[in-house]
This record gives sequence, C-alpha cells and structure tokens, in this order.
Amino acid sequence: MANLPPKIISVEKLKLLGSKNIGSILEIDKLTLEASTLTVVLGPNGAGKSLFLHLLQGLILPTEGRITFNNEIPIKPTYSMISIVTQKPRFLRKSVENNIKFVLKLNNTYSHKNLLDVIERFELSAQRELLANKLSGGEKQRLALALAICKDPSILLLDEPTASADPQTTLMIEKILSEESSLGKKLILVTHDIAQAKRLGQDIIFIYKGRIIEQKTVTSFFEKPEKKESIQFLSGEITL
Amino acid sequence: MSVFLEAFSTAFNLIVSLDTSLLEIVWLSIKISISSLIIASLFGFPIGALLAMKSFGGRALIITIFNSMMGMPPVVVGLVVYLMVSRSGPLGWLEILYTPYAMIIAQVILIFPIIVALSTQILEELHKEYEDIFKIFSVPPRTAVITYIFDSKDALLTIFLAGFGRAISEVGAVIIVGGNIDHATRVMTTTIALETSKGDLPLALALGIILLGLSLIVNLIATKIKSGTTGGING
Repeated sequence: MANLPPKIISVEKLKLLGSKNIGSILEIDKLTLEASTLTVVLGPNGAGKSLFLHLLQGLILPTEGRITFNNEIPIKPTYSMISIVTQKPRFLRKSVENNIKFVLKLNNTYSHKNLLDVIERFELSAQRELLANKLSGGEKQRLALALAICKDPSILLLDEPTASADPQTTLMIEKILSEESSLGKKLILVTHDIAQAKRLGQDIIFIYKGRIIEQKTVTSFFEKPEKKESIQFLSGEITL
Repeated sequence: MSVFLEAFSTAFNLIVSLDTSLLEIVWLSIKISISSLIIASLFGFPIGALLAMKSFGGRALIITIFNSMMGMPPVVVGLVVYLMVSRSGPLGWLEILYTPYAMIIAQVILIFPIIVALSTQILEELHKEYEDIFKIFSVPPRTAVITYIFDSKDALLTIFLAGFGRAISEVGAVIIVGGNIDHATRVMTTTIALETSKGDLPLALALGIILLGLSLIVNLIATKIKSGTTGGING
C-alpha cells in the first residue's frame, strides 16, 4: 500500500551554489507541482535537470531555499516516500534477486511471491542470479526502476530511465510508468526524448542554465512554447 | 637436496610423534598471533570504517600516517616496546618484559596499521558505491553497517589473513621483547632463528614447513568461509 500522496510539491527560493565561486548552478524562485501527475523535465545537457531531481530526493542539499512536500520540510521519514532512478544507477554488490529482496525486506513487503512478481513484472527472470553491477545498460535501468518501485513511493523521480534501453525495453518501462502514474503516484521524468515526453507527460518544466524558463501543460508547451529558449530547444537549435 | 629431505623427514616425525616441545611452540605462536589479531581488529576495523565514511579535518593526514606505518620495521617496534616495558620504562611496573603479553603488544602495534589502512581503502570504495543507495532507500544505520560488513566480507577476511600472516611470521619484534625463552616465549619464528644459528638446519626447516602448512590451513578455512556465507536481509 503506497503512502498517501502529497497534495503538492513546493520549491521556494531554492539556490544551489557551485564550487569555486562559479555562482549558482541551480536557482528556482518558486515552483509548485501538483500531485498525481506525470511531470516531464526538459532541457539541454547540463541545464540542471538531474541536480533538480537529486535535490528533491535529498541526495544533495540546497545552499538556500527550501523544498516542501505537503507544506512540510522533508526530514528523513519524508524522504522515505520518494524514490529515484538515477542516470547511472548503482546497486549493492549482490545478485539481481538479492538486490530486490533487500529493498522488499526494508519495506517489510518481502515474500517469495512478491519477489517473483517483481522479477516477472520487470522481465528479469533470466538475470535474477547475475550480479546487478554486471548487467547491461538496459537491464540496469529495469532493475533500478524495479527497486525504486519496490520502495512503494508516492513520488517517483526518473532521470532518463530509458536512455540505455532498446525500443522493446523502452516500451516496457513506459508501460510501467503509466501504470504507476495511474495509481495516483507523482512521477517526475527527465528525458531527452521529445516523443516520450509527449506520450507520457501531463505537464512540462523546461530548465535552461539552471533556471526554470517555462512550466506548462504538455499540449500547451509543444503547441505554443513561449520562451525563445524553449522554441530553440524544440527546433534543435539550442545547446548549453 | 638431502637437507630438504631430512627437513621433511624431521617435520613428519615431529608432527606424527606429537612432539610436546613442538606442540608447545606451535600453540604459543598461534595463541599470540590470534590474540594480537583479535585486539588489533577490534580497534582497527571500527577506526578504518570511521576514516572511510566520515569527513573531518586531518583525515587525509591520519590515513597517510597509517599507510606509512604498514611498513614499520618489526625490530624498531620491538625496540620501542622493549623500552616501554623494560624495568626503567614507563610501563615497567607491568612487569611483562619477556612474557607473551609483551609479544602481543608488539604484534598488535605491527598489525593495527595494516588493518586500519586496508579496511579504510576497502570500506571507502564501498561507501562511495552505497552512500546514495542507502539514502534513497532510507536504510537504517544498523542495516547499513551489517550490509557494509557483509558485502565486503571477502576483502575484510583477506585483511584479517594479512594481519595473521604478519603476526605469525614476525620474528624481529617478538625476539626482542619475548627473549626467546624456552617453555615461556619461544615461538616458531624465534625457534627457526635460534636453530639456524645453532646449525640445526633440518629442525629449522621442519618448523618452516609447519609454519607454511599452518598458513595454508588458515587460508583454506578462510576460503571455505568466503564460499559459504548467506542469510539475513543481505540474503
């Protein structure tokens, strides 16, 4: 049973300074995200999309400002309702099966049946005995998503979860993301795949040089992008 | 070649006849080495873990010092311990010079930096891999510690063996602080040194063979342990 989803994710006056006085590498004055929608984060390489997800998960802490979930500043128990699939997922030095077992046990949802269900759902039967760190890129992303979902989070952060996946795996991952979204979970997806953003997203955040330039619904963003940078990005003219 | 054959023959005879003097020497060697290893590990592994996982001022310097101490000459350690526990030394009141206790202290000083330095390296690498995973999955500290130990058990066991190897094969320090006294502080390495100086090469070689055999047995046990540990949340 998932934790109750937060009504809102709110970011206020958030600033993350880079090292060696290079100034702020991410700065968000105000951002509000509705719960239970799939938000896609777009932007060129190095814009700060991954940093944004890492800040939400609490993997890095902001220099200034605050992030709240349901108007509460996250503390350790709050982070337990968020999960992230990072761009380069890391695993315990264990087999695929034991990595899944580890997270299920942490979440007090381990049973042999649950373990088999997860393995089957993410099509990892052939890899279950293999060491997780020895998997191929696409397999790693499947396992990372499986582990993130095993945590049964209310908010699922996804940093290019199909970047190394073949079309079949991409389809499988997208299907799972749609299923999780339909369960009322908040999904925040970073992707460079415009078609995927259109297929899955409900609203879009466009980040450029560490700033949120535009926040709109998917239809509105792709049909009528307002900002010069968004238009250039969509036409493939922009790089950081 | 005949010396080697004689050595093997002597070693075989000593072992099968369960020579009491030999057993006494072997048993004392094992007792001193294991005691040193346990004491050094009890302090060494937690300090290694602390250095691997916590950031604080002077950390790099401490690690460098422990790394350098791995190559400490045993005779120097023996000499320092001798000066400390000799009658006029600051620990002279303990009256442990030429006892197994002094030998244990010397060996602990030799093994401790090895355990700290190597466990720091191993756990630092693992910590880099696991830090974010543990944050993402809100892993409780107790489970995190168990997972660190479990997932680095092979490497930690290897460190343990390196420490044992250093202890059991050490001669310079224990001969200075132990004095190589028969039936009191005579261990395998000091006996080998003594018998060689006396010209009794077959006995010295025989003891060398037993020492090698002992190391082999310890390694075989370790390999067995490595291949057969499962269970718990770390399944």
